[in-house]
Amino acid sequence: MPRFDDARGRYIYLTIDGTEYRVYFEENGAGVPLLLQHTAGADGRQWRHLLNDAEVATRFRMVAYDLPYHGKSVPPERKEWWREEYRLTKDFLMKVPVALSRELGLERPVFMGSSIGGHLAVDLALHYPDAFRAVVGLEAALATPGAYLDQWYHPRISNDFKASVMYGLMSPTSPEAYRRETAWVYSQGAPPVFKGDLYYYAVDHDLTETARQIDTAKVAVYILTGEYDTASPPALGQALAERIPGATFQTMEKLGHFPMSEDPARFKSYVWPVLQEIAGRA
Amino acid sequence: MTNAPAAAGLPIEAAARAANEDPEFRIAARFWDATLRFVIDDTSYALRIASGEIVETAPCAPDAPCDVSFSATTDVWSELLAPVPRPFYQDLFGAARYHGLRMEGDLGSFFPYYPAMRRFVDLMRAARGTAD
Repeated sequence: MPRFDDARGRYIYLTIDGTEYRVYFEENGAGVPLLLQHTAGADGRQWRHLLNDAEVATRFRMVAYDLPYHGKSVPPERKEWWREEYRLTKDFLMKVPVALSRELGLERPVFMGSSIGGHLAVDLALHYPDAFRAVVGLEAALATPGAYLDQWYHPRISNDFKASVMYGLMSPTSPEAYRRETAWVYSQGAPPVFKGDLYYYAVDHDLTETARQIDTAKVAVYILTGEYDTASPPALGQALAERIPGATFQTMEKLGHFPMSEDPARFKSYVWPVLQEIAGRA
Repeated sequence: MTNAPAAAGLPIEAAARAANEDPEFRIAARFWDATLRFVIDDTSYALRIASGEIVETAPCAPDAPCDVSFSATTDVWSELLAPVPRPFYQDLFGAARYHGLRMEGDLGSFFPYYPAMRRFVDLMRAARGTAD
């Protein structure tokens, strides 16, 4: 008898700023809708462990999607994207989960993401408070300047470099097979995408002056950061949470920049209580 | 590979022998020609790679020519090579950003071989553990 994964994938068409995008997503579970955002230069495979968690699936409808240009979400057909360098902006990035939620008919989903997904979580809380009931920002910060560098998209430097640097952002205690898998996913992104995503991560995202405007009575905010994350250390996550009245912060010990994929069991020990609290409020 | 006295505090000789036998290092280092310099406090050590093989390790002058150098104090190297490094010592970039390790030289030519260097640090860590 074949053994199937619980996650099931399909494509949906989203129109954003007049352009149609064919977007791939995988889902599993029933209950409170939960959108899952991958990190820069990667794709929704980072969430495969949570997607297959039977306990979480009993209370949440999990939806992990690939941003346009990432994973199985190919670039749009009606745009000459090859004539410009790829660059992810905050405005476009925010519109993806908002459009996906609308098209899937989700009712004020929970949003969770890591790295650019963590930054996006708090940007959504600020700009789309009526569209989400709660956000969980992993490896999130007020701002993370300095990472938008030419070395991330250079003809002489292959994707192996990105993968190897990302390996170094993880905890040395995380299972080797999962660290390698996380790095492998990084080695597969289209060459310009990681740097282009870092435009949002390092330039376009900055809540230094606006984080305090987030209304956690409308949208609950949870910030969690891995203690080995050198890209967005716990101190930055804590500073972000302290700036948002009502937000919570937690350091995840023995985890790094990719908690959901580098050590899924340890990650669940931190995130499941948060998700249960959110579900309890629903 | 040319034999030479061990660098004070850094298991470069043992790691180099292991690297030449290590499948991951050999794949990551393919086609690599470079001279690396490791600096620990006031001691410098050169490692020469030809066509992806480490062919020489030897003490060198602090200003000896090299393509890339890696410099840190004894304490930083010790933390970096601990069996389970503490946060931000788990990788050269983290150690450079937060703990004062310096990577200098022709970084544009070095970055394509960062996977090989990362593996070499693993092998130094393993060699340090064996020596301990």
